[in-house]
Amino acid sequence: MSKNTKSTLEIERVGTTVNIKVPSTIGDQFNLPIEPLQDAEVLHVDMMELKIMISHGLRHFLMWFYGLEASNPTLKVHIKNVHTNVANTFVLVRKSINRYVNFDSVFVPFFCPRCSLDDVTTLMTREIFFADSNPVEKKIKPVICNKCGQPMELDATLGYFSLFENPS
Amino acid sequence: MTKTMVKDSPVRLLEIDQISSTGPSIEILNDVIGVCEDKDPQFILSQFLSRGILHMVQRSSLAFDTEVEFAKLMLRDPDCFVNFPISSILKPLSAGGDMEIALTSIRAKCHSKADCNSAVDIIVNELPPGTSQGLITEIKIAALELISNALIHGPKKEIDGLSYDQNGREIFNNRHVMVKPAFLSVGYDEERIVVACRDLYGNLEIAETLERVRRCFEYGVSLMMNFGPEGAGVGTFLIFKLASAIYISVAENGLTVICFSVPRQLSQTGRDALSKNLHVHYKRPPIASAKVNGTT
Repeated sequence: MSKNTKSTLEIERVGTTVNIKVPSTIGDQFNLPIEPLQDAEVLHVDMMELKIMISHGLRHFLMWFYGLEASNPTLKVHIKNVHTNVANTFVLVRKSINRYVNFDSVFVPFFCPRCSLDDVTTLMTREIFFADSNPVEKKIKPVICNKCGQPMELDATLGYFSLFENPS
Repeated sequence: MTKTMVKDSPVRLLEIDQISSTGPSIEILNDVIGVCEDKDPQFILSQFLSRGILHMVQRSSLAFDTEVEFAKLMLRDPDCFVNFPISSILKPLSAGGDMEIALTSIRAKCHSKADCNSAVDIIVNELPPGTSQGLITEIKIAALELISNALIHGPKKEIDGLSYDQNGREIFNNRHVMVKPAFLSVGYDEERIVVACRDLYGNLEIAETLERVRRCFEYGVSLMMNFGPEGAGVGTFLIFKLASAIYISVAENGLTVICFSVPRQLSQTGRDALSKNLHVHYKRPPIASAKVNGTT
């Protein structure tokens, strides 16, 4: 097992599986690796720290995904812990990346219309999303507003969860 | 800034219900405010790009009456918007120096691309109390796109060969150089939050930029995104997607002011569903000037 924090990424390799933790910011020097992944079979990308992503960051990730797909088309890419605004940005390019990238979990936004407060701490996984045909709200423990104590409303459309879908 | 030609002319409210089938406009309609309802962003952008309508206001949008008053102000006295953007947007009937001070929470000056994050943090910290975390994040993204555009595209068009060191500081001919600063400010009233960005280059090509945004809406971001040095308009698209209204003024080779407004109280899905407005002002009409440049 080796650990590498170059390029501000945390990269850990266990056999043919590579785990990457994306840092909280994506600057000009941000460099996502391609060559070390050429013989990997599975890649897990943890986006827990990345809470904001602008177009510059989206461009980095698209370049990375396209590069990986070209160099290692059989690599299984799994992304987890995707925050709401990052997920919203990935939704914009979903059709281009979902044939290669699997989103395993995203944070789900809730909103209290009485207090205009939100909550973005609930995680939805692919397994739970596809577990049954119930609406998303029924699959998640109710989120209670800290201010009024009433249940909050889901603040995402079905398009948000299209990240979980892979084209056949 | 020059005054518009309509300073003493009446402004017409024109009902718009379909996209013009003609090609790019060769005429800028300086006395028209286009009014419509429940139209998508592509439609709004097309009215500017194909018909030359500088102001598109939707009845279904937030603060419709104020937006119409703002459009009248921008047509009558564009300098007022350039000098006092936040009060012009939020209180067009009483815009000016005093109102600008009263409505502006804070102003941040940014000297380098490397300082964009700190400038955005400064203004985000002054958003109204109780602003939802999701909205704060979205404002942060849009403000970062605005200030980055101002501090990258503006200087790069003026200084051929401008590059950056590993900290994001500007370099030209292997030496650090100072670029013209850009400014961010934020203000709000009971209903809306406004973020304003000003740069001192005045070289934003509005029609080209908004055409890229329109294509992002029409064809999708994936198809539009390229990996070359020039942007695909995706950053501006993200701003347009977030905002309930966009306000742009360019004085060629002098000044660019871009603002956006967002509702304070709505959920993310509520914000996404809002009708959008567009307001544009040129010191010189770009299509006409391009034709002149092309023939001289």
